[in-house]
Amino acid sequence: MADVLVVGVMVLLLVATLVWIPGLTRVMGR
Amino acid sequence: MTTIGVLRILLAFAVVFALVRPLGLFMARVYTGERTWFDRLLRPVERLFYRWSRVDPDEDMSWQTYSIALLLFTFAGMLLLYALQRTQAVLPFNPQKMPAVSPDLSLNTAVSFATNTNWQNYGGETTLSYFVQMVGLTVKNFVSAAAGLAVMVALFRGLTRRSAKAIGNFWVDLVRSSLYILLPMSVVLALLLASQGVVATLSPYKTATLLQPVTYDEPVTDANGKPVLDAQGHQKTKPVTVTEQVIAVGPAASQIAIKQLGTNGGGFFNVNSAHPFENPTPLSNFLELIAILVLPAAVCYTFGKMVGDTRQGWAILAAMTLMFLPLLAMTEGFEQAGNPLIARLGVDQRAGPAQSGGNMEGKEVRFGVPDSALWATATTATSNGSVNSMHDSYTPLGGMVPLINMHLGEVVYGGIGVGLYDMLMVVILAAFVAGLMVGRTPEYLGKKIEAFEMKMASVVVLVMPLIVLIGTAIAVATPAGRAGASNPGPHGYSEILYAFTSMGNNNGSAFAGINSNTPFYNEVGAVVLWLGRFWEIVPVLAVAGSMAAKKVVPPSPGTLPTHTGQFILWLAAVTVIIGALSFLPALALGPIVEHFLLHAGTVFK
Repeated sequence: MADVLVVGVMVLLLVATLVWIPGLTRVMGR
Repeated sequence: MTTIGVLRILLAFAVVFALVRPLGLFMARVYTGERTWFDRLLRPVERLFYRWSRVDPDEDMSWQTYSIALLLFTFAGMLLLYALQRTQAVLPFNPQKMPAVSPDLSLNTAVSFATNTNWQNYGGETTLSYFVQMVGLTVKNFVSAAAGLAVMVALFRGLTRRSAKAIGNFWVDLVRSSLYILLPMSVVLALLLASQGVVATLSPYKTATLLQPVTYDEPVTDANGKPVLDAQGHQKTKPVTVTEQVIAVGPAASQIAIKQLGTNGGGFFNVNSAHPFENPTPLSNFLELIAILVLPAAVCYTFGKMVGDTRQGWAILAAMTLMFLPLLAMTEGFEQAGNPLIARLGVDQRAGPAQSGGNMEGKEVRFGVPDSALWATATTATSNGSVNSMHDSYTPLGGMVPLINMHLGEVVYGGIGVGLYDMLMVVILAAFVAGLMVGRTPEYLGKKIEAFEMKMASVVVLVMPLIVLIGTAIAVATPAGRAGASNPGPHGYSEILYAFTSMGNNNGSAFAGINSNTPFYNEVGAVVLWLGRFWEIVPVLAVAGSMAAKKVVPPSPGTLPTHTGQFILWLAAVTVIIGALSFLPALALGPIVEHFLLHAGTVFK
């Protein structure tokens, strides 16, 4: 169970950064 | 500072600066695809990599594709490292029968090594098998360092290409960085270190019978590992007599080489390069120190070469050195001056033929103050994070310098690749502000600096202070965070600030006093480590993509020269101002107030 949670945290970090790419450019005006 | 200390520093700088041009030139040839000495041997291996992985080396990537490739590659490596730690009990090369690492510690270590930080909440010799150290950590040392170099080269291309949509191929940059630069240098350094006595073996740990048995009082704990207290509330102890000592060994030399060259910093042993099997002699100490500094300095020349004006690279290297030297003098000065409270007891702390003098708590006698202070300054300036002394035991202001180095954003040389691309963001800010101040067009290397680049550079500069200060604030506001500090008062606060500064900057050095192998520090730390790395890299690559798409404006009388002494001073000033504005209040609460209290005779028990 702990392993599933940890992998979930890793996926969340990845997704947060993948969203950061289009999110950042949109907010910054590109 | 002693004469021998000054001579050692001068010698180290002479060697590093002598290597900057040849090494920088070689790296420029590697990244531009020109012929190198290693082509005959390594070009077939490189092609084989591309064929196996079905990578088209001629494909040019947009900055978004480049970022996604980097993120997915790092994520896959992180998952693999996590799995290796969790299953190490059933994997080979585990002569000490190490059990599986706990989930929260495995998470922290996996993120730490994936982000080139090598923050270590574990003790290498007590936690990890040889297999995990070799296949997990050492491989990550190579590829995370290569990923930093790849982002740097992508930014170089962005600054030099004209009206282009792409900034290079991540896989090619990754493979070439590892294969042509890091691997050959690591092989040579590993052999040199092994010749000095750094261990390199797959044998089990050795057991030695002590010539003189040692008896000491061991703290008593219950079945859950919690301290057992007596009627007065003190922890109970029991006398223990030790007749044997287990001596940890392992395949260390190969890992130490890349740990220094890749500005990773993760030690094979818990006490890192203070361990006699990881750094046995003055020569090994010197070699490791050069390895820490040489690549971050040499990439400045690579930059100059790749943008077609080596003066630009020298200017950045000069600005970095201009900041490094006073910081080094501060550490050396405060450590050599010693502890005023000990001086009041009549203890002689002056340097002389019989002793190195100064504040020797937490330092190896064989290195003394000069080599310890130089290492502490270099390792925090370069994002390396390895230590040969315990920074927690430095005087308040001597220990503040490693903090300042990291608070400046690790741009004073910085991590390989990372330091220079972060510094180039500061250059963009400095060129923009200077342009506005004197009424000149804000441009750099013929590319106009516009709102998008300014916003992205600002994000790069602001992300690190935000995560460091928010992380520190959460830790000092929660019992779980405060429980890690091993000292009361301002020094305990400094320990927490140092931990988040080190993780948020992907440095990895520890103040050593803090107990951070707890679920709180492992989990919050993992988030800080990841954001500190990739929430900076994405805007850097966005700047690369944006700059690549621009046309080059020919120099005019309105162009601000960025290779002059005046710009070097301005760049150093902007770097210091940004760091001071972000962190001076935090430093005032920790090392600065501790310094004044120490001189006033106030201690915390």
